[in-house]
Amino acid sequence: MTDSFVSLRSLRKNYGQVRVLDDVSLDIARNQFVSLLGHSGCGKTTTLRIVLGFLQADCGSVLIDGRDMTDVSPRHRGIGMVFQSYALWPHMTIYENVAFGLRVRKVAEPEVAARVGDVVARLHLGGLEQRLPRELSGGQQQRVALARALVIDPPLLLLDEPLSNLDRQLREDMRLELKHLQKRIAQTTIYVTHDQDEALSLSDRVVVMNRGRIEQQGTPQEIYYEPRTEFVARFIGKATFLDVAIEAVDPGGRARLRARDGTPIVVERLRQAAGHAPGDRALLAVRPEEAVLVPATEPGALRARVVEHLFLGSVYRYQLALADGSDVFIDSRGPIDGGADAGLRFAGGCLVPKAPA
Amino acid sequence: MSAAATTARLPRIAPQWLLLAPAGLLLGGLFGFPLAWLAQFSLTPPGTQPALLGPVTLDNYARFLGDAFYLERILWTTIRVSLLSCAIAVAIGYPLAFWVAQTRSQKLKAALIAAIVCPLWLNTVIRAFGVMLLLFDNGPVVALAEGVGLPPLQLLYNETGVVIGLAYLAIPFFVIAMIGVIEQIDARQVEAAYSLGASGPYMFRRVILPATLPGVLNGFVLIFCISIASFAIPQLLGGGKVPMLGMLIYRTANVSGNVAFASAMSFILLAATILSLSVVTIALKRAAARR
Repeated sequence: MTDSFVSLRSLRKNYGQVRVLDDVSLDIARNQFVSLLGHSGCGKTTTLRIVLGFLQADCGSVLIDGRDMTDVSPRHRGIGMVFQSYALWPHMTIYENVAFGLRVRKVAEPEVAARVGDVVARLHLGGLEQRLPRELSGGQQQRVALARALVIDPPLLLLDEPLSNLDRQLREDMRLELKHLQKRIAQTTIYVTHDQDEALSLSDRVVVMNRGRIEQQGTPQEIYYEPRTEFVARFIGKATFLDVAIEAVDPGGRARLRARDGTPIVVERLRQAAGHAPGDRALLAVRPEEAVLVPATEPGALRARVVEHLFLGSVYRYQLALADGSDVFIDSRGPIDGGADAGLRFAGGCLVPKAPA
Repeated sequence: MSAAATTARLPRIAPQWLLLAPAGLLLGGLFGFPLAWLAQFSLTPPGTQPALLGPVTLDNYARFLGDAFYLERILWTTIRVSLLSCAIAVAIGYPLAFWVAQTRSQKLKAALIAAIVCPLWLNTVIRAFGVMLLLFDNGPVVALAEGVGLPPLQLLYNETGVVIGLAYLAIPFFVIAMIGVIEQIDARQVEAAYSLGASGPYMFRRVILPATLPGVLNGFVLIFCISIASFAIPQLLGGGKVPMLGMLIYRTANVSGNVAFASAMSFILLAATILSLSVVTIALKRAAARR
């Protein structure tokens, strides 16, 4: 990529014998919002700390705006950082916390006041300037941490699980607020999270990491609907996984597959069939909203048995079992009528290679 | 209704006060009562054997506070030597505590803490003799100073010796008190300062120092109380020529047998301790607020 603003080139990092980063390369365009998504220990925080400069990669390099950062100390990288724990200075007022980066830069006090006032207003912290961090709620502290990073107009903003210490309701509010903010300030941002909802809803691009490697990167839609590996398909959202053999895929995307016990399975629109030839075995991944319940008597329907259902608020999630015992998950607007027997159709789905056992 | 009425009639002893009772009894019995007894001693006529229901007088206090010798020579020396030795202990102990607290290897850290604490296993008198061996006229420290071309040093049997001895005594206490404080500093707060462009010294002044200052104050109170009341160190390292109040109290009570005057001096020492610590605390807090 020629227009990439941040470039990670083949980053590797070992802690003793443990490989935490294995050949991580990533290009981030200017003003893009990119999420690093993965379980704890997947290497996302290590990547972040290498970009920040608090950790040296064993090999590989980080380029920001075309400049190699390897020998640039953290204080000269100019990166705005928001820590998971906020890391506000407890003995300083909110104003002093936010003003810190400007005072370090020896900005004249009147301008400090103007810029702090500006960012404080943008983040709805007005009136709290003279309070101490401990006098603020978690959500407010989170916004102070963001204000402190944004006030220096950093070319790159890093957010490390910024919402994970908030309770659910607040987290969703803050997510919306971050989205609004991101639109207004159009800031190159790397967002580290283990929460797929945050990653999918906020990002221009999602980078799924697993065991120190990048599993897949793409738009949130690509990641959700066209996972390329079993890990991504399992990690993002809920899905039904069926071990299938491919019989035929017609150009419209309609696919005829066969389950392990030979039962024919039809998927009306298979996304991302490329790379799979008839005769191959693969995993069929079907999102709960792509599976449709039909009367058990409908021709061509898969026969299934209702095992359990969960009321999730907006939908009912049904767990069904196929004849061969595999589980299928379905989201349904209302409760399913009738007995334990049901029919099943797959409106969509995708194939991922089977992970080596 | 009847249940509520029954509840209302129960005796109202707040259970939290009951929980405080064991600690209260211990403190009252082992600290409050002897202190009150000592206060009573200090009010009996000087030179007499203290009696519980004897005459009451302020003569002992008047003798001390009315005499420039006691005020300037004894009290001021005591405060000055204590402040100086504690300042030195802080100056050495603060970076030492940092070094230990930031040691990555847990084994090395445990070894360092053990090395700092192990002098405390020894009796003060024995440690004082150890320091004397170092500071002797022909001892290694003096020889070293002469070796680098300094004029001959007199490190023993004067105020210098007492200050060195008290500082030496105080450092382990201060370091141990500070290690916990430094370990509690959130590393992310330090990183946040760096990521915003702060230099090392700027970060230290604005983040570390304010975060550790309450700990420094607590540590200072601890070692100051130990120093100001010490009697073995001024006796041994000062050769009896540096008159500190603790030493004088010991001599007055145990050599001269004037328990009443010794008791009064004990209370004056207590007052001097509280007063000095208040001044230091206020001064440090003012300095911190001004930055």
